[in-house]
Amino acid sequence: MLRRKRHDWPDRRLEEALALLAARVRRCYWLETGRLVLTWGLAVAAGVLVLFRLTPLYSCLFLAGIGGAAAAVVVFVWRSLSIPDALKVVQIADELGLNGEAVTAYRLLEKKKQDSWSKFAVEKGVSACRNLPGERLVPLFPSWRPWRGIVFLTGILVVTILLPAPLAPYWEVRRAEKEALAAAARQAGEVVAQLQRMPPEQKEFLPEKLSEELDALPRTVGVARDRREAARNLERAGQEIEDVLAFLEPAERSFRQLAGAWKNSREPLLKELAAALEKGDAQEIARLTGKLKELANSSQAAKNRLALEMFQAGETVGDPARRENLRKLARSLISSGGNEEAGESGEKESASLARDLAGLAQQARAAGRLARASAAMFSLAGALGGGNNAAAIARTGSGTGAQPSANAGGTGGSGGAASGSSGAGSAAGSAPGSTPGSAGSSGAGGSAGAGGASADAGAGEGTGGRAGNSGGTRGGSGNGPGSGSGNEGSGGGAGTGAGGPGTGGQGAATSGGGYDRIYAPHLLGGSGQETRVSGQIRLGQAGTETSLPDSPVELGAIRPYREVLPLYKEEAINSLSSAPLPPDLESLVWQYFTSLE
Amino acid sequence: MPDYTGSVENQEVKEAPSAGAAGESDASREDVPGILEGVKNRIKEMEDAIAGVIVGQEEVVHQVLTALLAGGHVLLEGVPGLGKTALVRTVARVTGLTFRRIQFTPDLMPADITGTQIFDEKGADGPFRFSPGPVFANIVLADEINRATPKTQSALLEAMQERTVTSGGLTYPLPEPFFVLATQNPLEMEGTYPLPEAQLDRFLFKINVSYPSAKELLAIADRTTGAAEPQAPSLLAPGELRGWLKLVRRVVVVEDVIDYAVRLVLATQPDNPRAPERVRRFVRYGSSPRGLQALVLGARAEALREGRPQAGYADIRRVAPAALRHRLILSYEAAAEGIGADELVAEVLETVPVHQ
Repeated sequence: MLRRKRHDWPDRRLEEALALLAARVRRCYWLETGRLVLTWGLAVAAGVLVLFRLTPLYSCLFLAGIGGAAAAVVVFVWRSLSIPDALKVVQIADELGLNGEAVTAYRLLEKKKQDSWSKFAVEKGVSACRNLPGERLVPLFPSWRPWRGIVFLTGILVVTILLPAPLAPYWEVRRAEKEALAAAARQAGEVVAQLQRMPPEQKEFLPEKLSEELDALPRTVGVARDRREAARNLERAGQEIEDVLAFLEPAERSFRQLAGAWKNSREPLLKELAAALEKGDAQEIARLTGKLKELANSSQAAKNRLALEMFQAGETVGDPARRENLRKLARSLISSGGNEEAGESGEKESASLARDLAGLAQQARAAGRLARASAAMFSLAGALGGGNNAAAIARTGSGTGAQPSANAGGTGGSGGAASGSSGAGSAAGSAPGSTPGSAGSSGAGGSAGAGGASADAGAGEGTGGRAGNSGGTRGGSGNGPGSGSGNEGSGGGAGTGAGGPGTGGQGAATSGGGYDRIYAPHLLGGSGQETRVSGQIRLGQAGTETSLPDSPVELGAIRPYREVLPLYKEEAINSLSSAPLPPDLESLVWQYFTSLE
Repeated sequence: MPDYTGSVENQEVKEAPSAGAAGESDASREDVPGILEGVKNRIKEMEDAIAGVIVGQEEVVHQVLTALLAGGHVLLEGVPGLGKTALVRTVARVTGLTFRRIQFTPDLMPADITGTQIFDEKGADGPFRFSPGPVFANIVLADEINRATPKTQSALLEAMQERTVTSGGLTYPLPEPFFVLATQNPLEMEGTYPLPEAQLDRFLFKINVSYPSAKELLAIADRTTGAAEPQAPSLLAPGELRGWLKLVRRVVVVEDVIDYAVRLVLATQPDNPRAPERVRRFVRYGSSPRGLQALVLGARAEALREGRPQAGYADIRRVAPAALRHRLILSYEAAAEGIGADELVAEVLETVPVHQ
């Protein structure tokens, strides 16, 4: 019960005797109430402002106003609950020199005592109250001295409002940093969520420990002490993803190479296979590889073409085992149709290839996702380290590798496994990077232009470190989404450009100018003399000579390059099928023809 | 009961038809203002009469008369020669009451005060009869009370509290009114024994008698070394003081004033959280409820002697030092630091607000 028991006047006489005093007491009480309301209101408002100057809410006038008003209301309510009642007035009268006569009269009247002593005491008390000397009464207006506090507090309030908060820049920085960390944590959370949404067959490539660390990453970024620590966390996570990527990179590269090679193939089956690979559709891959054996009944030329494609694809693949698989399949295609044993072997190899390709596709897709995640981490780290604000970080996150279009564009660059030195010139991704990427290995454009030995293509251009090294005759688009956050901590910008038609092919075009016309010995015509060459045919085979019945012996003619090349190539394939070479030499032949194309 | 009254002069006192008697007879029709005015004037006469003998010491006289009105015993403390005995003798004379003086010495025995059984083979009630001691008087001056042993000092306990004396298995009432006005030398003096706390508590007031001023000394020299020593007249009629004692208890004291006295008493107790810090530090034992009784009775007496029907806060404050100082048992730390009870009582009065 906040409200105290109020004492009313027990008798009219006493009330009248103390009426003047009561009025003055109440007036002084309300004046004092006003002073207290103002004092507390101003004090709380000033206190809030002063206190908030030490906090991020350094200029919160609204809160100060609310606090001051609340304090004023509380004081007013509290004072309203304890307005001086009759007993209080009586006590004040006694304090003014009545020596308890007033309170004695009050109590006796209250108890309605009727004995002569009480009556006399009441009479004396009322009389004393009535004759209370004027100079002892409560003054009409109290002293102004207590009001000085209000002036002082008003001064403080004005000063705190008008003077800038010295800690404001600090808190602004802190707030921006917190927002940046929150934005980074949010973006990191989105990246991690995308990783977590990977299908199980892709997710299995993500180590459990790394998965747990990634789960905790948004929180650790959010609660980091400062940007630097958050950036370190992000970089560490990105680096760990990079480590996983390093493991997946050969497969991913093989995938890109195969898909790129077969997508441009003349064989519809291989085109379909490329599409299935890119989709990562294991069933479709199995179906299509199974169809390879159906080609056993087709013409030898068709089988040869397919085998050539296989060989060529094998040559693009860096993984020796996979390359050997493709070679075997190519050989089995060439030799199929003859006997049952070869057919069974081909079937086994196609099944093995189907499994391999399906796994390859999943690894590639996982690698792609991981690459995007890693790029995003590095981008975020770079953005944080570069002092970007929350909005910029949010934009960074939205532009980092998460865009399917960027990935698609990047894929285009994979075709450019150019070996021609002149073809690498203009293959750098055309997407503008936000910062100059270093030559580091972690460009966001990792998904694009996977073939790149020329990681330095991104240097200084703001394009991805791995982007766009394509070139060569196929005109692979080398303009994958460049991002270019280097490992070295230089710029954190991430490219947002989607891959478009590559420009890298131009390099190849210019470099190939010397092959317009070519000497074609096969078209010389006429038979030559039989030539015998001494030596062993092949290691382990008997004989010291071989015959070359169609060896040209006359001068040939100059023919267009594109007319001659298929003939040369077909001849080479036939030769290889009839006279197999050791694998490394056979590889040289294929590499030669591949490079010509 | 043995007839001892004859051995005590003026034992049979008659209550005068004073205002007090009238007040008791018909409460609703009594003339209270007249009674109060009469008492006030009579006490003023008494003060004037005493002042004719005792030079200065107005405050001491005032407090002694207040204590008499309140019906309490008084302990006067002061070095020898300050007129304590003369004051008590004068007061006794002015009040017209029987007076006995007992000089306390180390070899004084309790029976020397209260009386003893003596052999009387012709006695009607047996071979032994009670011979009353000097305590059987209206006003007993226990001079230098702290020179007797605590055992002898304690002989006064029953007399002061119960106003009776027990001897030989029989209890004898003391005459009404009965006042013990004791004097004591400061405890620092040689050959003194401190009064037991229980007995100290039975004194309504302890009044400190201070040295007279130069002007007062001049008057003392003039008044006491002349040919005629002044004598105070006996002013009060028999029973008049007894009537006043009853009037004192009719003075109105409302609960607000009593509450103030209660808070003062509580503030002297060191274990009370509202006690001043110095009280908690220097006081071992605070005032007992008798202290509260002394405050309220003293305040009533103050009001009566000023002709007021009610006692107020100022009356409480006025009697507080005399009523409380001997009830504070100070610690050794206080003694070491020279802190006195008066200082602490003053602090209590300073810190306890009149209104709560």
